[in-house]
Amino acid sequence: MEQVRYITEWFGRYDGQNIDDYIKLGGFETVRQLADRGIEATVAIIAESGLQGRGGAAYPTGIKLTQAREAIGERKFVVCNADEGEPGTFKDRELLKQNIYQVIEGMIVAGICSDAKEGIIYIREEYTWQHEAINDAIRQCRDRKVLGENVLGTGYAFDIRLFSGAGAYVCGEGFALCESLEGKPGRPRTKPPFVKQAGYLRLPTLVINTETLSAIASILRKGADSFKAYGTEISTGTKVISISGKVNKPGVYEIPFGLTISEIIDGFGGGMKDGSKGYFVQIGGASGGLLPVGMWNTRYTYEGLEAVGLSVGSGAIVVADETNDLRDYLKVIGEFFLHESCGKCTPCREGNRQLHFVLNNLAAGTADAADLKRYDSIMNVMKGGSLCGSGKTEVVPFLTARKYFPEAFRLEEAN
Amino acid sequence: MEGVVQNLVAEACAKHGNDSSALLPVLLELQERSGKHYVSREIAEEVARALEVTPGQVFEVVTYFAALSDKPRGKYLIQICESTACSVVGYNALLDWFKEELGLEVGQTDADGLFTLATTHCIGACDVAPAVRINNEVFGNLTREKVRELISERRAG
Repeated sequence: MEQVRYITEWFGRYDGQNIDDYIKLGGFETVRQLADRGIEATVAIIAESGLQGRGGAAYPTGIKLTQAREAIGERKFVVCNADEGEPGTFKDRELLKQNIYQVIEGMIVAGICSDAKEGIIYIREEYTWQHEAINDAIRQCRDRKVLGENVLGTGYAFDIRLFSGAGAYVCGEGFALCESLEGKPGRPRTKPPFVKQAGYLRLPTLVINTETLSAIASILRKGADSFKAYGTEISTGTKVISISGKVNKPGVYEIPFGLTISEIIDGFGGGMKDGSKGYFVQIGGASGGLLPVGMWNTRYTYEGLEAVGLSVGSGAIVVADETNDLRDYLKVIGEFFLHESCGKCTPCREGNRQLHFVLNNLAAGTADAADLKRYDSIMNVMKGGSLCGSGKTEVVPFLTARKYFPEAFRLEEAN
Repeated sequence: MEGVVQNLVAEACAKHGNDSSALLPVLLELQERSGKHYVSREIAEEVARALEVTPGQVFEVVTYFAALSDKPRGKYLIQICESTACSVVGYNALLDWFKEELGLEVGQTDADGLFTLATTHCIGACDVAPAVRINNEVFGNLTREKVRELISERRAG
């Protein structure tokens, strides 16, 4: 199956680093157009495209930009969320590596549209190897007056700096990210007020995913209709996905919404590894749901996945075959959240600790009926009582496992 | 000795904009420059003074974030990914190879202070899983032979 080249259109068209090559391709034209078109008309195009936030929350980007504009503060910020921490996700890595200028173009547009003059690329510490290239790209932008006091002669001011996280999953959450930007441990705050009103330094902060920013530039370049030509009525456009696990061709692919899971694995992932038999996929990261092979005819859309209790999430698709044990896999997920829980709220901190014991028993084959009862009750408490999205959504893999994989929860006779 | 620490910290703070918001980049840079992947107590206390935050805040940050450490580690920090994608394609075997070749358990540093063996959560290299990170470099699609090479190249310095 052919990849779509919409957001990733310019991948491979230049080395990803030389700004002049990017400009020759037509780069930064949308910033100039913005000056002529006006902010309202620009945001209207994004709204019309139906683009939803690609970090996982799927918030309509048009509304997000409008709300960012309405927020009041003496300074305002745009943060490119490149904290890509959902296990199994590596698409932002490629968007940054192969076309950093398009991310920057999207940030400038988002900055002007929301009246923010300061941009921050918040990159995960695990991508330290990319820092030099990104800082170099920012320097080239300043040299060409793409960033600075008078962006491309439009009269708008906007500049960007790079900021590295330090290895905390929860910093992908808006407030935790802001806390770490302020030099504090990354722990979410209670809301309201929201990040958009009082984020970094308690000032209005637009936190927006790397892929969403790239998509903004592509959509403005090509028009809302060209984006809507892909996907379904609700899930418009394309998605950059990361396929990994037991497939022949793991990697980053841009696909239209609407394919089935099987079509994605066969058409892009190169089929199951060495012809092995599929068992399950996890979709959307560690906090994403699990889907058994019998349900791989599910369509990869926001609505199709929602109907079976899953979501698109970060765009990660981890594929497992029959040699993999779901109980071991659940233990891996559990250990991840046990380690990454920030510890601020009790449901997530203690829920993960107790869940850890149950998952160990399940994997060891020593679980009893009381363990399963505890499992279900922990899920209820975490889902309903956790402070932030991390605690609330991490139940998804465990709930979908319980629902679709009864074999993993069958108790040994002796217990 | 004290002057050296002060200068080092002052330099890092000046580079990242002398206020509390610079705490993470300052600590990451000083840790990198330590050569042992850690923030010593005297560095941490000097950073607190320089950025006018409490030592408690500095220690809390150092111990909260996985990338920062308050204990010295080897010149080469070997972090084996134990996340979802690496787990389905055999992270266990990779971990065993490293344990055997280095003679270390997870969390240990060798007597020469050359290697520390650790595990990590997803490093975003799932397309080349099972993957390992050594300092700031990522290696994937590993075999036992390749693991031996990675280690011997570094032993040879």
